[in-house]
Amino acid sequence: MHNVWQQLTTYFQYPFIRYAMIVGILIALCSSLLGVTLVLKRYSFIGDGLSHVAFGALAVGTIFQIENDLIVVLPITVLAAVLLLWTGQNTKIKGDAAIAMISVASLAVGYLIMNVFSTSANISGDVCSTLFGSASILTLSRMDVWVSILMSIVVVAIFILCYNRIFAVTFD
Amino acid sequence: MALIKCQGVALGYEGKVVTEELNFQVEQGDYLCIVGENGAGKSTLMKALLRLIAPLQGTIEIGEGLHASEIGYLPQQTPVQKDFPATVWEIVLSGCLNRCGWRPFYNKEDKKRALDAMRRLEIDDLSAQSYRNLSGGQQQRVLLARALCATRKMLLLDEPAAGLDPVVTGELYELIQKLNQEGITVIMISHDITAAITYASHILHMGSRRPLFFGTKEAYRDTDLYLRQGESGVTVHA
Repeated sequence: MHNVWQQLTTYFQYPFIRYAMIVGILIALCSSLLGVTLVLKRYSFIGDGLSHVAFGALAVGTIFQIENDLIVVLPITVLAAVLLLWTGQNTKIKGDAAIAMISVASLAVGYLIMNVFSTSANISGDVCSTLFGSASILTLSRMDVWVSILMSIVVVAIFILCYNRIFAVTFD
Repeated sequence: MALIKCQGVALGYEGKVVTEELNFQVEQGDYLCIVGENGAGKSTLMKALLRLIAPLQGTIEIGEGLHASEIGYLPQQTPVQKDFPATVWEIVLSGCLNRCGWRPFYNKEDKKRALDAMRRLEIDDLSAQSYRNLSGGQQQRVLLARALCATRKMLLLDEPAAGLDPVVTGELYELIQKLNQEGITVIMISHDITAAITYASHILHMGSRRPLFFGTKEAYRDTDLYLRQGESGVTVHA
């Protein structure tokens, strides 16, 4: 037990570990709040779909050489989410099919854009680092942490205020 | 003036007419049963009464201080609802949501209302149970209590007995009749002509394209429509 404690304090000396801890807990909190509703509404797949949309947006951001990718990624992903849930209600293409279409399409477009307008010689390296590397939980900046904290507060506040409405919408 | 008055109403989707020439009215305390074959536009009529869709022609008047938002509606149950993991109390209480307006939480009056509704439907002992573990009949009662929370005047029921066994169906009809006798106007869609004749005060029989009959059940008993169904024995039990 003593050993474990010692090791943990060693780790927590580093700011990037502290950031990772804070952001990880916040993300877990928010996704557990929102996830239940999505699963009950039969939208379990939307997280995966939206992450692909985010990748497409990231590719667009990269070719325009925008320093802070979040400015592009965040609004586009939110827009895609609204679009998916909106069309899911009353169109010929039902929720799951729409999610599959948009996610695969945006993945393809993202990869295409990165390929055609590549900014460096190493495309597969770029894709790989975009998908798995560059926004890893261990390379968060102070800015990212603040954005996460702020977004979590907003999400939790909205969830508490609208809980009864969310409940009714989920049920109907 | 009548609670609901339909004059020359035509209903449909995207310009395609499902049913037309609907003329009927519902008075306070009536028990109207809407019967008719599948696709005759019964559920569409319900949606029009709730102002969810607009009629293509004609007018639907809602009178005597009754707002469309004050009508309790019991829709057909969706697959998502059947295994919804919430307590009975939460679901019944969510029927009060329309009364909240911009208020984010329920107040004492809402809670009292929900409790009253559950007592009236004899499900107050199920309050803490999970909805998904209830039987079909109990689930239907919970949804009825929820609809009751939203109204003191009028209930719209869309095939409340679908998928229930005869005993439970009978109990449910008795409950609805009790509510009707307590002064709530009931409009119910049903495939069960026998039950419609037993419990309802008025019948609206919808055929394909146009309604075939509207009037009291006594008058309906004498029509060809009813006699024909009696003879061939095709009374469909929902």
